[in-house]
Amino acid sequence: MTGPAFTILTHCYYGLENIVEIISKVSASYHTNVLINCPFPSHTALKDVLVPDNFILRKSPNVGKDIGGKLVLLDTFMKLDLSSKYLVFVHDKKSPHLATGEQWFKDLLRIIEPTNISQILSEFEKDSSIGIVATKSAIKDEYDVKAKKYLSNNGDILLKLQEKYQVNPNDYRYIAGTMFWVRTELILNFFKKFHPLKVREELEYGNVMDSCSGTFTHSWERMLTWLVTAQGYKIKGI
Amino acid sequence: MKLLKDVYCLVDDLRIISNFDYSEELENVWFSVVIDDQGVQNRTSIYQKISDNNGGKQFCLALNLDCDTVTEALLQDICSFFFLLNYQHISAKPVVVLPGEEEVNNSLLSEKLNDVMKRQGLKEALYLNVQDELNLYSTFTDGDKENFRQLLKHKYSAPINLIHKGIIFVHIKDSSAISDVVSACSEAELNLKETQPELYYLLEENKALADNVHQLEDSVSFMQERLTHQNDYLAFIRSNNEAKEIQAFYNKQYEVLPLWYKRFGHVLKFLMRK
Repeated sequence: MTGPAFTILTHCYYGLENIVEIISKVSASYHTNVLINCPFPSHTALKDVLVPDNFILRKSPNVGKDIGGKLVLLDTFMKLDLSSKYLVFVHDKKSPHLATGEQWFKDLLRIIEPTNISQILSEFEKDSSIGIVATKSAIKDEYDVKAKKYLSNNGDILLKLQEKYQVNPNDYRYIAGTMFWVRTELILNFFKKFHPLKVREELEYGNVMDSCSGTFTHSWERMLTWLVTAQGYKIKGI
Repeated sequence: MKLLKDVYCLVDDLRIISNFDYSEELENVWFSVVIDDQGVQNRTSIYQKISDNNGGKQFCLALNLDCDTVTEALLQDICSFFFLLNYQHISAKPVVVLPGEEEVNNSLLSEKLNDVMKRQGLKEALYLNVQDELNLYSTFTDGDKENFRQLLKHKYSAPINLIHKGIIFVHIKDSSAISDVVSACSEAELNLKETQPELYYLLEENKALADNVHQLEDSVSFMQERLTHQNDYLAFIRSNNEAKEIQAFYNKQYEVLPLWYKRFGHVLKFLMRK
């Protein structure tokens, strides 16, 4: 029997109910690993939700928002020695500060709609240079090529992180919202060198925003894409 | 079965936990997996086996390590255990048993671990020092059964102010020892109930209240966390709401127009039956 084709890494901040329902539909149609991280303390919320036995659950304090949660799940994936060709990062994004927040979340979730999954898998199979597949509207670019600088508050932190981890992509586009499919080996190439929990230590505690000043959390939102594009792989939007 | 005192069964071999029959819910009996020099080598395999036991009995780690040889990578791996669903937390703090005899080493080890935990957003661990004089520590093999009974008898004949304090730690070598430990504890408690019923009742009440306090502290911690985050979001929404931008756009594009122009527009709309 072959292993699962993909592993879903999900961070649930707002409660398990909705996301478990969505992911259960995927895991009913596809052989997949499912790893879910919830914020801690939140034991009561966990007890109240019926989670399928094969889902692997973790709980961690709210460090680095969904990025911190996804790093905990990457640590879990590596420690449990799980394998799959692709990783799928999702979380229960709400963006209450955006008038279009709900629609934005629905758009991001298109990547785990069963009808789109076969298309995504075939995109990866057809073109071996694709490293990431995400919702087209989530692909953003904040780099001003002429001015050679970042058009966001995170510019200074990004430069520091790029130097520290030697991540230098030619393509500065990134997946806003951090929900995407990625080839597992490309992510692990990086995190085998830099422990996910060590990276997590850099992230801020609580629900930080980058509207006034840059944050490591939002910078890592960009870095997670660049880890892949810096290895010469490209982004495909659907 | 609910015991009056917390009993921590220290295990070196995870097969003891996996072979244990969970059909009987034993309240206040906890497994503590020993991480010593050998455990350090096998920590990934320990993590994998414990992780399989997702919904099983809660457990904690017993760190028997020399603080000088502890690396940051090891401490990060220890933090990974705290993220497991079945890791024991009391008042939102992960429980860590320290079986080592050297007080200085234990204190330095806990300092190092707290430092790494803090960076992961975790609260300081709740350290249970096995060697604390109020605690009872014993190894438990077949030959030690009687010895353990005597220790319990001695514990329960202590002055009243000492009986309710302290925890029982038992280093066990096989899963069958767990039921022996539990039956020896219940025997000692039954004896106490018969000889000093008032004291037994008070201890029972004390234990129930202490458990309740821990649960309430957990809830308070959770509520505080949620409240802080909700306040943050509310403050952010108030200062950065997109509705404000839309309103500003409306003001700039429409509100600034002269009244006669807007009225003329209304008349036009009426004539066009819109």
